[in-house]
Amino acid sequence: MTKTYLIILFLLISHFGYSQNTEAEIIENEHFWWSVNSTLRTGDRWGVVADIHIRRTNFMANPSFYFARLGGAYWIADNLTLVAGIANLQLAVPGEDDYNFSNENRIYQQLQWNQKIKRTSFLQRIRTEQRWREALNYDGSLNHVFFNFRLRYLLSVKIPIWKERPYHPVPVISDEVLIQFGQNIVYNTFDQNRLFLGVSQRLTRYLSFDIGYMMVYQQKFTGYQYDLNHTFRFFFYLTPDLRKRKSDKFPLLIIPGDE
Amino acid sequence: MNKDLPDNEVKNVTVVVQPGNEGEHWTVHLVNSNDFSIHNILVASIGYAEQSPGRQETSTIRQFFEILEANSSLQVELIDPKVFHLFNEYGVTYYIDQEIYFKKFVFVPDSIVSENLRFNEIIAADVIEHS
Repeated sequence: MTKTYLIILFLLISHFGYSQNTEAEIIENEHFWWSVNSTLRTGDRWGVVADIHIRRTNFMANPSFYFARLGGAYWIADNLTLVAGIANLQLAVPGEDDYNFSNENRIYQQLQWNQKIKRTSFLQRIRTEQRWREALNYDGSLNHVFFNFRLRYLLSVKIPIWKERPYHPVPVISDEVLIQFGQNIVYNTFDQNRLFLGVSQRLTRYLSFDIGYMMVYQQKFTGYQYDLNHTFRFFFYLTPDLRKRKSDKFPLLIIPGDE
Repeated sequence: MNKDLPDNEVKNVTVVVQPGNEGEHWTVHLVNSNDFSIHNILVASIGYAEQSPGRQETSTIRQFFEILEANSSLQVELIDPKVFHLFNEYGVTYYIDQEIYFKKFVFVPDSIVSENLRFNEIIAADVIEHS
C-alpha cells in the first residue's frame, strides 16, 4: 500500500511540478508551527471539531499565519468520519513598513478513514477546500478577492514500538499532497507536499500531542520557484467525549488538523 | 512570427515587479543578471483576462531599449494595481551579438501580491520575479 502511495505521489509531483523550461529555484525557510486540534464527540454520530494554529517564520522571529477552523463531524462508523466546516486564515505578507495580514475565508469538507493492521494505525483523509483569498496592495489596503479550490490527501502511519502501552511515545510518519485549481492557477496546480516525521505522545485519555519535523515543499505561481520549509511542528490533540456510554476503544479517534 | 525565431534559451534575463515606488503604481523592470550586456531590446506588454478568443484585454505597449548593461536593470513601465487580476504578459526580444532571443513572461492573475515578494540584489529591493 505504501509503495502504491509513493508511486502516485511521484507521478503527481513529476506531472504538476513541470511547467516551464526554467531551472528550479528553491528558497529554504525555517518555521515553527504550533496548534491545538480538538474533537468533541457529543453523541454516537455527531461531534464538533475546532482547531487553532500559529505558524512563525525565520523559526520564531516573524509571523507567518494565524488560523482557526470550526466544523461539524458525523461518524458514519467508529473509524469513518465526515466533517464540514468553515475556516479563517490571517496570512502575514510584507508591507511598506511592517507586515500586513491578508484575510482568507474557507469552507471545507473531508472524509477520514482510520484503520488498524496488527499494531500499526493508518489514517487516510481526503479534504476539499474552497478558498476566498485577499490580494493586498503594498500599503495593506484590499486590492481584490480571488477564489481557489484545493484538494488534499493525507496518509498518516503510527507504528507503536511498545505493545499495549498507550502512554509510551509512538513514532509517526505522514505525508500530505495538496493540489489546487482556479483561474489564477496556471503553473502550480501542484501546491504543496508535507512530509512529517515525529512522535506522538498520549498525556491523558483525552489529551495527546505530536512533535517533530515537517518538510513542506511548495510550488509558487511561476512554476519554477519553490519554497522548502523546514518546520518544527508541535500539535496538541484534545478529544473530549460527552457520550454517556463511551467507547471502550483506547485511544479515542483523533481527527487531526493542519492548516 | 514567434515560431520563426531560433530556439535560443533565455538565461538570467528576468522581468520583475517592484511595489509602490511611485504612488500606488508598481514598477516593472527588466533585469539582466548576466556578465555581459544585451542589445536592441523590444518589450511588448499586454494584459488579458482569459486565455481564449474574445478575451478582455488592454492595449499592447511596445517599447524599445538600445542596451541593458551587465548586472543592471531598466524601468519598463508603471503598472496599475487595478490590472493585477489579469494575465500580465511581457514579451521580451533582445540580441546577444548577432543572435536573437525571445521569451514571454506571464504574471498570472493574483500573482502580483505582497506574499510573492523576494529580495532582488540588482534592484536592491523586494520584488516579484519571473524568469
